[in-house]
Amino acid sequence: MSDTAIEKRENRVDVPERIDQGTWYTPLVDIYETGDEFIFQADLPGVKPGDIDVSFENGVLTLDARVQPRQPQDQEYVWQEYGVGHFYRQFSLNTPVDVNGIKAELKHGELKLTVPKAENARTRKIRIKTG
Amino acid sequence: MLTAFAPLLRLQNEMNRLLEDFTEDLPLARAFGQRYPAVNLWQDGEAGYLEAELPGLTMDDIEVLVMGNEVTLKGQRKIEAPENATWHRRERSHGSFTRTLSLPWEIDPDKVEARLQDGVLTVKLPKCESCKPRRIAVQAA
Repeated sequence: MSDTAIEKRENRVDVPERIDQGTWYTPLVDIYETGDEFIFQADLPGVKPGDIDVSFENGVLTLDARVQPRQPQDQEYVWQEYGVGHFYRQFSLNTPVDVNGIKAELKHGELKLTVPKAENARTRKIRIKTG
Repeated sequence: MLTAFAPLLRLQNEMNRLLEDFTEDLPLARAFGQRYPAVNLWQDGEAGYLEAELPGLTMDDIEVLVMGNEVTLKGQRKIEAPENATWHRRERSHGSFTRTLSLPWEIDPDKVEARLQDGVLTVKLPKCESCKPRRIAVQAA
């Protein structure tokens, strides 16, 4: 057997492989839910408002943000503690949502996504009769 | 006498750093670690450029202090958190932070520039005149 043969390995079928160049990072998020909506807040430092795509398809919410290089191309770091690259993260939501009502706001490198629940998925307070 | 202790002091520094790295990796250590924010540094002949990712902060939340060859980043991050909500993820840290870095050159404090854009802080730290690289003419004997 040739040494150059690529070892056969198990594949994760749920993760598509990336073909384009670059490094992707997983942004840190806070997610909370109220009776009417989900709020997603993600840290996306260095992302400009035009460079972010938010999509919702088949119950999967996708954040895809591009980061423009900030350092001169030929400049080497004297000291480096973090990497600079794009951001990508997906979430699946089982609760039906109102796709047309999704709002996104990007300010100071912080994204706030408001995802309203579909009318029939909202929590309703049921008055309990006594007596 | 001091020089005899130097290797021991270095070891102590290294151990502290290792411990910090260790505690920062613990999922329960939610408050800012000792070394927040993480920084990148690059330089040219004129100045050093310090960069830190500080999403969600405005210039009002950040203080940049310069003294001698040291630069200090101070700040505070507040994150709004409604009380009657169900949390699914809570990964972002909040609170106050202070971090001081020593550079191998004296900083010219009058020419320091700090810029915050899209949650990224860049501080230009110009070298003092005597610290800039200079070409020395070699004289033939």
